[in-house]
Amino acid sequence: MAPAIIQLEISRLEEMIESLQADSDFRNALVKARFELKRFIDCLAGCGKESLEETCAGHLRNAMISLGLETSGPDQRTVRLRDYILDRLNHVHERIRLIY
Amino acid sequence: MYQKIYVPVDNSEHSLRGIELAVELGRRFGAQLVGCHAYAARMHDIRFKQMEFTLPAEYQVEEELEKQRSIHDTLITMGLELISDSYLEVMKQQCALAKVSFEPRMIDGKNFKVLVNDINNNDYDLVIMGALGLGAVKDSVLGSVTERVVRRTKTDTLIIKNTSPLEEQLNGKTGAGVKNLHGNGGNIVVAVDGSPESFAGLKSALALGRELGKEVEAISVYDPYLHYTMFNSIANVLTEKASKVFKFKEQEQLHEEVIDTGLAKIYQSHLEVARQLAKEEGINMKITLLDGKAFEKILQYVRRERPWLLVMGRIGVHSDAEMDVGSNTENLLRLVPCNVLLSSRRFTPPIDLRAEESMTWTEEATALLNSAPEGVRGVARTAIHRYAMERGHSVISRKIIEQAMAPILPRAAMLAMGIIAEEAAIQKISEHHGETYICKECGYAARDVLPAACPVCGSETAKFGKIDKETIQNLEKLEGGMVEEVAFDDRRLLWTSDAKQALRGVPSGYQRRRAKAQIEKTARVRTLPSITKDLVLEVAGEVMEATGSLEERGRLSQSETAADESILQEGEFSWTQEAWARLQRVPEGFMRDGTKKRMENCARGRGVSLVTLEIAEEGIKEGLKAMEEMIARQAQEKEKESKKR
Repeated sequence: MAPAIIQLEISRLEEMIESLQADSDFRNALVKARFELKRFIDCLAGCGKESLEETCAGHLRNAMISLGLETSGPDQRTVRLRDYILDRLNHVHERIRLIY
Repeated sequence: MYQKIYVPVDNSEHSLRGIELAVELGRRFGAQLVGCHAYAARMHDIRFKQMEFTLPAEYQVEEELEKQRSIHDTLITMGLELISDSYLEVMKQQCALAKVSFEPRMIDGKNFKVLVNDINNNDYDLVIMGALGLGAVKDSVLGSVTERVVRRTKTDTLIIKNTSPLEEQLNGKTGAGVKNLHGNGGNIVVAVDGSPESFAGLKSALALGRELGKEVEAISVYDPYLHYTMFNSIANVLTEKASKVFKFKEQEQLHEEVIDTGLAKIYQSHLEVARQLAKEEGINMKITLLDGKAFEKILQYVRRERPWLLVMGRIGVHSDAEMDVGSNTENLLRLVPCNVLLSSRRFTPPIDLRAEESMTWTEEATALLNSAPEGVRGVARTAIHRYAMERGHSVISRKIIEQAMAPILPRAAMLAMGIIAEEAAIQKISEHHGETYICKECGYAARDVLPAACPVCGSETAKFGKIDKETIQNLEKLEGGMVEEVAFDDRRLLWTSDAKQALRGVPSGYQRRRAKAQIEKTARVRTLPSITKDLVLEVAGEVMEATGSLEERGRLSQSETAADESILQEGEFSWTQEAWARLQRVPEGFMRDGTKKRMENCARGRGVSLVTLEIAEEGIKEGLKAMEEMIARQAQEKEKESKKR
């Protein structure tokens, strides 16, 4: 289910990206997170269970850091949605050993 | 609540418990009771005649046979009447003790038929019947008479499945005799699915609960797994080409989004409405939302909670009115280990109550409403809810408020309240005059300076596209001026005429709507002031290429794309958009050609050159008439031929 969950979160990110102006730093942080999440999904498809945490989890962590650190600009609703996405990503990260 | 209760009796354990409950309800509601026993004297008569040949030889004489037939006839008729009388006597005595009005009935005939006939031809409010009759065996769960009656009547029916003494059912037992978790004989559980039948069931349950001192609770089940199953199933059979057309990934994603929030919210809102209805009657009702297959989850819940009564709509929210019994209800009726009330009445909660529980307001919309003077907020909220419900919305946005208020408030008042603020917002967006470069690979936006490489995906400079608003504004003039269009999410966007023309290269229907939405989305992400032809080709080019081969084969005719125009010139006639679209629904080939000629003839007959939808429908009607005549003629000829043979 991990790729499906991540794909869902990517779609949420895309909605947020779409609603923000191109000159917003927060938008670029979301773009970075989306990019890392897509790489995470690609990586999941191509690696074995043993190396999963070393090779793929980094992308997931990068996405979470990118999302979590940028706080300037967004309104309250966007921040809540961002926090929700972070929570979901964290959920996947905590269970990364269980992904097969 | 109940004024006339009908109780079919047969002296079985279930029937006796039904009588006791009916008497109790009759006493509490002041209802009249009608007890009925159906017996089949004719069936016995037929059977006797069939078995006459097995009689000993001394009876096989004409006169003796006649005598025996007469004796048997009298015995059977009288005997069955006596038996019926005895069954009904039990009920009569109980009614007399409880001072409840009672009317006995004995009917000769096929049991379920006469019962159905009696129920359908009288004004009973409630039928109380045992789930099983005298013919029940160990594994029986629902008797055939009960099942047939339930299927053929539309009166509320309470099916007795619990044969414990009524006192125990209603008041429970203490100590070792406790048979349920609550110690009070069990609650009343109402399964609510948003159908009028289930809400009427809730009202009945509340009345029963009040009279019998039972707690009432509501449960609702939504199924978020069906779509996963469907998508997995589809994924296994779609070809690569088909999955591209179907946009499988996007569809799956969309459904996940919908299932994630939508279904749960809808069913939760049904429960909230139910709770409000109970609250209006002074009852604080427990509600529970379950997820999974409806009948399975309700069954598990009932097995765990062991209620006294399960109340369900006879049919569910997705059933046609003609349906006899819904599938979930049917399964549960067989399997639950408690009494069941099937509600056939209908009750629709007031629209305001439903809206209050099911509508979500965006923060912006809530703030806007709160900016209105307090005295008018309630009225405005109701008006907005009604407007949104009538149009099938589930989220109230600023746009919905604007639309709902337009016929009510003058424009100046809406401006003053800030309801119309979109124009100001568009103005604000266009204030940034600097250059922006967007990475075409990942969407990273660089302001004022073109980066040497993308800091996100590492793409080279060439991958960056410049968003130059001035150039786009110049292009607008070259591309035939601007047209304002409402986007998929109700926002307004500007399209050049060339861009609109280019979009017609995408096949009409789902693919074009999708392409349009993608283009609009891209334009907004890039904060473009308008949509140009280049953008359309960039975003939708792939779809156009993929469908190009179809156009060559003539499956997507020019006429199909032209259906978007308001008036289409075709030969000597002009066609409205709807009329042309109607014609396109006729199967291609001789049928469409023939229908077109008929439509044109109709227009000619009226002396007009514009084919409207009305004329198109008239032409189709004439076509159907001609076809019917042709079929009738052929049938006649066939008949003549067969006669000749």
